[in-house]
Amino acid sequence: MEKILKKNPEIVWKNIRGESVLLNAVTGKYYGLNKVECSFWEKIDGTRSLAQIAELMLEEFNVDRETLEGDLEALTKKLIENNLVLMEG
Amino acid sequence: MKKSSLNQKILALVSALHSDCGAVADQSLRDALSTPGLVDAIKKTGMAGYFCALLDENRKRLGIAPSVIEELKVSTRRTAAKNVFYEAQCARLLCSFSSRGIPHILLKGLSYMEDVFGDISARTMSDIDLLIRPDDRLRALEVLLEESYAVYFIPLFQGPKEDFHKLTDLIGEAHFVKKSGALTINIDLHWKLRPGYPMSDYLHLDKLPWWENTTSVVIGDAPAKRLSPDMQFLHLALHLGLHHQYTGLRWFIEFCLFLKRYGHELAWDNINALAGSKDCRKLVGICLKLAEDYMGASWPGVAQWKNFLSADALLPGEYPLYRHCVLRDSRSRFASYLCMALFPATIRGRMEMIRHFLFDPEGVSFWHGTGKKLPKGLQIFYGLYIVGRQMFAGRRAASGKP
Repeated sequence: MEKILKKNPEIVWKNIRGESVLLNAVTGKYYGLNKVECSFWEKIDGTRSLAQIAELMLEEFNVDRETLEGDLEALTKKLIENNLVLMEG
Repeated sequence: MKKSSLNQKILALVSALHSDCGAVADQSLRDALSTPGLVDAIKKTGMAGYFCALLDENRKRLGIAPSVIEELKVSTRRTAAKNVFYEAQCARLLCSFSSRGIPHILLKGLSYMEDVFGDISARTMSDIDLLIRPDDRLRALEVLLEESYAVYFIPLFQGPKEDFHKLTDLIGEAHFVKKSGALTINIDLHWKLRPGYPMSDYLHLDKLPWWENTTSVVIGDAPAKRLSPDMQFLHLALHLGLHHQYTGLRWFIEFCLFLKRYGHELAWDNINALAGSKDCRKLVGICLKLAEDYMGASWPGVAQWKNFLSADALLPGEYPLYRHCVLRDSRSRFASYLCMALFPATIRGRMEMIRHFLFDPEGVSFWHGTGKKLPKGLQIFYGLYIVGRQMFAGRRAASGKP
């Protein structure tokens, strides 16, 4: 069964001028996400897996599946490492 | 380059960025942008986000170096992150106040930020200002304590609520602090609006209709009330004049940008009537005239200064002092006292301000740094000592002596 992605509830975030600004209120560290990363972040709702989000993004962006999946895996790894996203299930 | 000259360049930049004068404005922008140290000076105003957004929009046309935008973006992201946190905390507090039935108005900062600047990354915030009704202050205190805020202004206060009531009533506002992880959030809770003691009492600011015609705004996901545009204009002007004595670019630029956004919509006759006294109209008129001087005569609303500021309200050399104050980064205490004595529009009013500082027990009520009450008979000497000390400190600073 595929693991579900969930935003860390300690993160406050907002879209500002095409970028997402994420702040970990516990550590005080902040992060900026570009337009594509921001779209990925917005689709993390605690019910979707990485594969499901990738399907949605394929409809949104003109990019081949292999490239997108590779990029999203790398991004997910980065977000988990920085404790911005949790993986459940 | 002198800091005041850099600040003048920043104001020229604001004016040109909003100008319709095409090539002339572009040349003015290029001149300002070629000034060494300008980016650091912009960052120091706390308004990197505002400048970053506008410069980025005009980057190609003006040939702005990507490194300039990138440097401002770094500051902008930091501001944005902190403000997002502030916004979330503010929304939470607004919900708590609403659920307890405590009427409140969000002042300054967040309340008009998106309307005036476009987003909340434009400028830094140091606190959240909330206005409540005087009778609700104890209930508001309970909410804040439940939300893990601590009273800041009297950290060791352990007395009963009645004593808290008496002590804070003198001040009309209380400051609260909460640590949340690595971050700190500051709340200023006002039940009186006293942006510049003692002039606020002199002008009877509490009698102004702050609670009338409030408008709605959404902060985070919480509905909030904010001042009507007319009252917001008055509040920004009085805050700039009384509280900051026209000092500091950030407040002045915010005042100008509010005018840019709302100058054509404000009900000037209503504001003139609200301002009421000649003293209050003078304070507002100076703000408008300063905006005209630095932003240009076509800036929305600035021409109204003629309806607020009468020629006999200013002493010779007084207005140039305020022009100079705008370009300063911080105010000296001496300049503060001088401005407060000058603010009234009449000789009688000025004498009353001087009398307040020399003889009124609330004027200078403590020995410097000791917390001990000053014997009334010594107040005049202490007041003169403070003024002399400030002048001496100013001269030493100007001469570079430690």
